[in-house]
Amino acid sequence: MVVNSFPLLNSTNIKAKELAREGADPWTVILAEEQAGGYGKEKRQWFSPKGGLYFSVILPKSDIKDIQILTVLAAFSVARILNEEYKVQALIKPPNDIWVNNKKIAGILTENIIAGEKAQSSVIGIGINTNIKNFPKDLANIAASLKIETGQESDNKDLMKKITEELKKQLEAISQ
Amino acid sequence: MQIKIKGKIYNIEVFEPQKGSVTVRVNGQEFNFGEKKNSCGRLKEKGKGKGTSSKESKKEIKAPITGVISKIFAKEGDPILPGQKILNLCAMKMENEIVSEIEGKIKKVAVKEGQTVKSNELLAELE
Repeated sequence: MVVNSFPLLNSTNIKAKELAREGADPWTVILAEEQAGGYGKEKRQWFSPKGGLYFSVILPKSDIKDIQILTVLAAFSVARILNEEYKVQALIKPPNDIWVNNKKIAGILTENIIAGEKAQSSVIGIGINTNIKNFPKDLANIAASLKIETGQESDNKDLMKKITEELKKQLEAISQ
Repeated sequence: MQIKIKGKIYNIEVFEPQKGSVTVRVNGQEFNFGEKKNSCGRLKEKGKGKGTSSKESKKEIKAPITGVISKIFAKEGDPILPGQKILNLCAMKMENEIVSEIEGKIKKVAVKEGQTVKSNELLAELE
Protein backbone atom coordinates (compact mmCIF):
# COMPACT_ATOMS: atom_id res chain seq x y z
CA MET A 1 0.00 0.00 0.00
CA VAL A 2 1.48 3.34 -1.07
CA VAL A 3 0.67 6.04 1.47
CA ASN A 4 1.31 9.71 0.74
CA SER A 5 1.25 11.55 4.07
CA PHE A 6 0.83 15.28 4.47
CA PRO A 7 0.77 17.43 7.61
CA LEU A 8 -1.89 19.68 6.05
CA LEU A 9 -4.04 19.48 2.93
CA ASN A 10 -6.96 21.48 1.72
CA SER A 11 -8.76 18.17 1.18
CA THR A 12 -7.46 14.62 0.80
CA ASN A 13 -10.10 13.99 -1.90
CA ILE A 14 -8.89 16.95 -3.96
CA LYS A 15 -5.31 15.71 -3.70
CA ALA A 16 -6.39 12.17 -4.53
CA LYS A 17 -8.25 13.32 -7.66
CA GLU A 18 -5.19 15.32 -8.70
CA LEU A 19 -2.89 12.30 -8.24
CA ALA A 20 -5.40 10.00 -9.98
CA ARG A 21 -5.42 12.31 -13.02
CA GLU A 22 -1.63 12.12 -13.04
CA GLY A 23 -1.84 8.33 -13.17
CA ALA A 24 -1.31 7.26 -9.56
CA ASP A 25 -1.93 3.57 -9.00
CA PRO A 26 -5.19 2.27 -7.56
CA TRP A 27 -5.10 1.85 -3.80
CA THR A 28 -2.71 4.77 -3.37
CA VAL A 29 -3.69 6.43 -0.09
CA ILE A 30 -3.54 10.14 0.67
CA LEU A 31 -3.40 10.84 4.38
CA ALA A 32 -3.50 14.24 6.07
CA GLU A 33 -3.06 15.18 9.72
CA GLU A 34 -5.32 18.15 9.17
CA GLN A 35 -7.56 19.54 6.39
CA ALA A 36 -8.05 23.23 5.77
CA GLY A 37 -11.11 22.69 3.59
CA GLY A 38 -12.38 19.20 4.33
CA TYR A 39 -15.82 18.64 2.86
CA GLY A 40 -18.62 16.12 2.58
CA LYS A 41 -21.64 15.82 0.34
CA GLU A 42 -22.63 19.02 -1.46
CA LYS A 43 -19.37 20.54 -0.28
CA ARG A 44 -20.57 20.75 3.32
CA GLN A 45 -17.65 21.47 5.62
CA TRP A 46 -16.10 18.52 7.48
CA PHE A 47 -14.51 19.61 10.77
CA SER A 48 -10.90 18.48 10.25
CA PRO A 49 -8.54 19.59 13.02
CA LYS A 50 -5.37 17.75 14.06
CA GLY A 51 -6.18 14.55 15.89
CA GLY A 52 -8.78 13.27 13.45
CA LEU A 53 -8.18 10.72 10.72
CA TYR A 54 -8.57 12.02 7.16
CA PHE A 55 -7.66 9.91 4.18
CA SER A 56 -8.63 9.17 0.60
CA VAL A 57 -8.08 6.07 -1.48
CA ILE A 58 -7.70 6.04 -5.25
CA LEU A 59 -9.94 3.25 -6.51
CA PRO A 60 -9.52 0.92 -9.48
CA LYS A 61 -11.29 2.09 -12.63
CA SER A 62 -14.81 0.72 -12.72
CA ASP A 63 -18.16 1.07 -14.37
CA ILE A 64 -20.05 3.95 -12.76
CA LYS A 65 -23.03 1.80 -11.84
CA ASP A 66 -20.76 -0.54 -9.90
CA ILE A 67 -19.13 2.27 -7.97
CA GLN A 68 -22.42 2.91 -6.17
CA ILE A 69 -21.76 -0.08 -4.00
CA LEU A 70 -18.33 1.18 -2.97
CA THR A 71 -19.66 3.84 -0.63
CA VAL A 72 -21.79 1.25 1.10
CA LEU A 73 -18.89 -1.20 1.27
CA ALA A 74 -16.69 1.54 2.74
CA ALA A 75 -19.32 2.29 5.38
CA PHE A 76 -19.43 -1.42 6.24
CA SER A 77 -15.65 -1.54 6.43
CA VAL A 78 -15.42 1.50 8.71
CA ALA A 79 -18.23 0.33 11.00
CA ARG A 80 -16.82 -3.18 11.22
CA ILE A 81 -13.32 -1.98 12.15
CA LEU A 82 -14.64 0.53 14.71
CA ASN A 83 -16.83 -2.15 16.29
CA GLU A 84 -13.92 -4.60 16.44
CA GLU A 85 -11.20 -2.20 17.56
CA TYR A 86 -13.11 0.04 19.94
CA LYS A 87 -16.05 -2.14 20.99
CA VAL A 88 -18.46 0.66 20.17
CA GLN A 89 -21.84 0.13 18.54
CA ALA A 90 -21.17 1.90 15.27
CA LEU A 91 -24.31 2.17 13.15
CA ILE A 92 -24.44 3.03 9.47
CA LYS A 93 -26.72 5.79 8.35
CA PRO A 94 -26.90 4.74 4.70
CA PRO A 95 -25.14 5.16 2.58
CA ASN A 96 -22.23 7.16 3.91
CA ASP A 97 -22.32 8.12 7.58
CA ILE A 98 -21.30 6.24 10.70
CA TRP A 99 -22.95 7.09 13.98
CA VAL A 100 -22.14 6.16 17.57
CA ASN A 101 -24.53 7.02 20.39
CA ASN A 102 -26.76 8.97 17.99
CA LYS A 103 -23.90 11.24 16.91
CA LYS A 104 -21.92 11.25 13.70
CA ILE A 105 -18.42 9.87 14.14
CA ALA A 106 -17.34 9.25 10.56
CA GLY A 107 -18.27 10.28 7.04
CA ILE A 108 -17.50 8.93 3.60
CA LEU A 109 -17.53 10.74 0.28
CA THR A 110 -17.00 9.01 -3.05
CA GLU A 111 -16.12 11.23 -5.99
CA ASN A 112 -15.90 10.16 -9.61
CA ILE A 113 -14.62 11.85 -12.72
CA ILE A 114 -16.76 10.51 -15.56
CA ALA A 115 -16.27 10.71 -19.30
CA GLY A 116 -18.91 8.89 -21.30
CA GLU A 117 -19.98 5.74 -19.52
CA LYS A 118 -16.75 5.20 -17.65
CA ALA A 119 -15.34 6.64 -14.49
CA GLN A 120 -11.90 7.92 -15.47
CA SER A 121 -11.01 7.99 -11.82
CA SER A 122 -12.74 7.40 -8.52
CA VAL A 123 -11.65 8.32 -5.06
CA ILE A 124 -13.19 7.57 -1.73
CA GLY A 125 -12.59 9.94 1.16
CA ILE A 126 -13.03 8.88 4.76
CA GLY A 127 -13.03 11.17 7.77
CA ILE A 128 -13.17 9.75 11.29
CA ASN A 129 -13.29 11.73 14.50
CA THR A 130 -10.63 9.80 16.38
CA ASN A 131 -8.50 11.82 18.82
CA ILE A 132 -10.72 14.91 18.88
CA LYS A 133 -11.28 16.01 22.45
CA ASN A 134 -13.92 18.65 21.84
CA PHE A 135 -16.07 20.10 19.09
CA PRO A 136 -17.22 23.63 18.35
CA LYS A 137 -20.61 24.56 19.83
CA ASP A 138 -22.54 23.98 16.59
CA LEU A 139 -21.24 20.40 16.34
CA ALA A 140 -21.08 19.42 20.01
CA ASN A 141 -24.56 17.87 20.04
CA ILE A 142 -24.32 16.08 16.72
CA ALA A 143 -20.69 14.93 16.48
CA ALA A 144 -18.90 12.20 18.41
CA SER A 145 -15.26 11.17 18.60
CA LEU A 146 -13.68 7.88 19.58
CA LYS A 147 -11.66 9.72 22.23
CA ILE A 148 -14.79 11.19 23.82
CA GLU A 149 -16.83 7.98 23.53
CA THR A 150 -14.20 5.46 24.64
CA GLY A 151 -11.35 7.45 26.21
CA GLN A 152 -9.06 5.54 23.85
CA GLU A 153 -6.26 7.21 21.94
CA SER A 154 -6.15 6.08 18.30
CA ASP A 155 -3.19 5.29 16.11
CA ASN A 156 -4.56 7.01 13.01
CA LYS A 157 -2.15 5.40 10.58
CA ASP A 158 -2.87 1.94 11.88
CA LEU A 159 -6.62 2.53 11.74
CA MET A 160 -6.34 3.83 8.18
CA LYS A 161 -4.44 0.71 7.12
CA LYS A 162 -6.98 -1.62 8.70
CA ILE A 163 -9.91 0.13 7.02
CA THR A 164 -8.19 0.28 3.63
CA GLU A 165 -7.29 -3.42 3.81
CA GLU A 166 -10.86 -4.28 4.77
CA LEU A 167 -12.25 -2.22 1.89
CA LYS A 168 -9.80 -3.80 -0.53
CA LYS A 169 -10.78 -7.25 0.64
CA GLN A 170 -14.48 -6.53 0.18
CA LEU A 171 -13.96 -4.93 -3.21
CA GLU A 172 -11.75 -7.70 -4.53
CA ALA A 173 -14.33 -10.25 -3.51
CA ILE A 174 -17.07 -8.66 -5.60
CA SER A 175 -14.75 -7.85 -8.51
CA GLN A 176 -13.81 -11.42 -9.35
CA MET B 1 -23.76 -5.22 12.59
CA GLN B 2 -26.81 -2.99 12.79
CA ILE B 3 -28.02 -0.14 10.60
CA LYS B 4 -30.63 2.32 11.74
CA ILE B 5 -32.93 3.77 9.06
CA LYS B 6 -35.69 6.13 10.14
CA GLY B 7 -35.64 4.66 13.62
CA LYS B 8 -35.85 1.04 12.46
CA ILE B 9 -32.95 -1.28 13.24
CA TYR B 10 -31.74 -3.66 10.52
CA ASN B 11 -29.46 -6.57 11.39
CA ILE B 12 -26.78 -6.84 8.74
CA GLU B 13 -24.31 -9.63 8.14
CA VAL B 14 -21.71 -9.61 5.38
CA PHE B 15 -19.84 -12.76 4.52
CA GLU B 16 -18.07 -14.54 1.69
CA PRO B 17 -19.83 -17.84 0.97
CA GLN B 18 -17.15 -18.62 -1.59
CA LYS B 19 -14.23 -16.91 -3.27
CA GLY B 20 -15.47 -14.23 -5.62
CA SER B 21 -18.81 -13.53 -4.03
CA VAL B 22 -20.16 -11.56 -1.12
CA THR B 23 -23.48 -12.12 0.59
CA VAL B 24 -25.22 -9.38 2.53
CA ARG B 25 -27.97 -10.66 4.83
CA VAL B 26 -30.49 -8.03 5.93
CA ASN B 27 -32.89 -9.23 8.62
CA GLY B 28 -32.56 -12.75 7.25
CA GLN B 29 -32.97 -11.83 3.57
CA GLU B 30 -29.87 -12.48 1.46
CA PHE B 31 -28.45 -10.37 -1.35
CA ASN B 32 -25.62 -11.86 -3.36
CA PHE B 33 -22.95 -9.91 -5.18
CA GLY B 34 -20.31 -11.07 -7.58
CA GLU B 35 -22.23 -13.93 -9.12
CA LYS B 36 -22.89 -14.05 -12.83
CA LYS B 37 -26.64 -14.31 -12.35
CA ASN B 38 -26.68 -10.95 -10.63
CA SER B 39 -24.46 -8.31 -12.17
CA CYS B 40 -25.29 -5.78 -9.45
CA GLY B 41 -22.13 -4.96 -7.61
CA ARG B 42 -19.94 -6.73 -10.12
CA LEU B 43 -16.99 -4.56 -10.99
CA LYS B 44 -15.81 -4.58 -14.54
CA GLU B 45 -12.17 -4.28 -15.33
CA LYS B 46 -10.80 -1.38 -17.25
CA GLY B 47 -11.21 -1.87 -20.97
CA LYS B 48 -14.06 -4.33 -20.68
CA GLY B 49 -17.69 -3.62 -21.47
CA LYS B 50 -19.03 -1.66 -24.37
CA GLY B 51 -16.88 -0.66 -27.28
CA THR B 52 -15.55 2.81 -27.90
CA SER B 53 -18.33 5.14 -28.90
CA SER B 54 -18.04 7.34 -31.98
CA LYS B 55 -17.12 11.01 -31.91
CA GLU B 56 -20.73 11.82 -32.83
CA SER B 57 -22.10 10.04 -29.77
CA LYS B 58 -19.46 11.71 -27.62
CA LYS B 59 -20.99 15.05 -28.60
CA GLU B 60 -24.02 14.10 -26.55
CA ILE B 61 -23.21 14.11 -22.88
CA LYS B 62 -25.67 11.92 -21.03
CA ALA B 63 -26.26 11.12 -17.38
CA PRO B 64 -24.42 7.90 -16.52
CA ILE B 65 -26.64 7.44 -13.49
CA THR B 66 -29.82 8.89 -11.99
CA GLY B 67 -29.09 11.89 -9.79
CA VAL B 68 -29.35 15.61 -9.17
CA ILE B 69 -27.41 18.30 -11.01
CA SER B 70 -25.51 20.02 -8.21
CA LYS B 71 -23.38 22.45 -10.22
CA ILE B 72 -23.03 23.50 -13.86
CA PHE B 73 -19.66 24.82 -14.97
CA ALA B 74 -20.18 25.37 -18.70
CA LYS B 75 -22.57 27.49 -20.72
CA GLU B 76 -23.61 27.63 -24.34
CA GLY B 77 -20.82 28.76 -26.61
CA ASP B 78 -18.02 27.82 -24.23
CA PRO B 79 -15.06 26.08 -25.85
CA ILE B 80 -14.42 22.71 -24.23
CA LEU B 81 -11.31 20.56 -24.07
CA PRO B 82 -11.11 16.83 -23.41
CA GLY B 83 -11.28 16.25 -19.68
CA GLN B 84 -12.86 19.62 -18.98
CA LYS B 85 -15.57 19.67 -16.35
CA ILE B 86 -19.11 20.31 -17.67
CA LEU B 87 -21.16 19.76 -14.53
CA ASN B 88 -21.46 17.92 -11.22
CA LEU B 89 -24.05 15.21 -10.76
CA CYS B 90 -24.81 14.08 -7.23
CA ALA B 91 -26.06 10.51 -7.05
CA MET B 92 -26.26 8.01 -4.21
CA LYS B 93 -24.36 10.63 -2.17
CA MET B 94 -21.49 10.37 -4.63
CA GLU B 95 -20.23 13.50 -6.30
CA ASN B 96 -19.64 12.92 -9.99
CA GLU B 97 -17.70 15.34 -12.16
CA ILE B 98 -18.96 14.91 -15.72
CA VAL B 99 -16.18 15.80 -18.15
CA SER B 100 -16.03 15.95 -21.93
CA GLU B 101 -14.35 13.18 -23.89
CA ILE B 102 -13.65 15.42 -26.88
CA GLU B 103 -12.73 18.95 -27.87
CA GLY B 104 -15.60 21.14 -29.03
CA LYS B 105 -17.98 23.91 -28.15
CA ILE B 106 -21.07 23.77 -25.95
CA LYS B 107 -24.09 23.82 -28.26
CA LYS B 108 -26.66 23.34 -25.55
CA VAL B 109 -26.88 22.77 -21.80
CA ALA B 110 -30.05 20.71 -21.37
CA VAL B 111 -30.34 20.79 -17.58
CA LYS B 112 -30.47 23.22 -14.67
CA GLU B 113 -28.89 23.14 -11.23
CA GLY B 114 -31.10 21.25 -8.78
CA GLN B 115 -32.76 19.25 -11.56
CA THR B 116 -33.19 15.51 -11.13
CA VAL B 117 -32.07 13.55 -14.17
CA LYS B 118 -32.51 9.92 -15.09
CA SER B 119 -29.80 7.62 -16.32
CA ASN B 120 -29.06 8.24 -20.02
CA GLU B 121 -30.88 11.61 -20.02
CA LEU B 122 -29.21 14.28 -22.15
CA LEU B 123 -27.19 16.76 -20.08
CA ALA B 124 -25.41 18.79 -22.73
CA GLU B 125 -24.55 18.79 -26.41
CA LEU B 126 -21.28 19.72 -28.05
CA GLU B 127 -20.60 20.83 -31.60
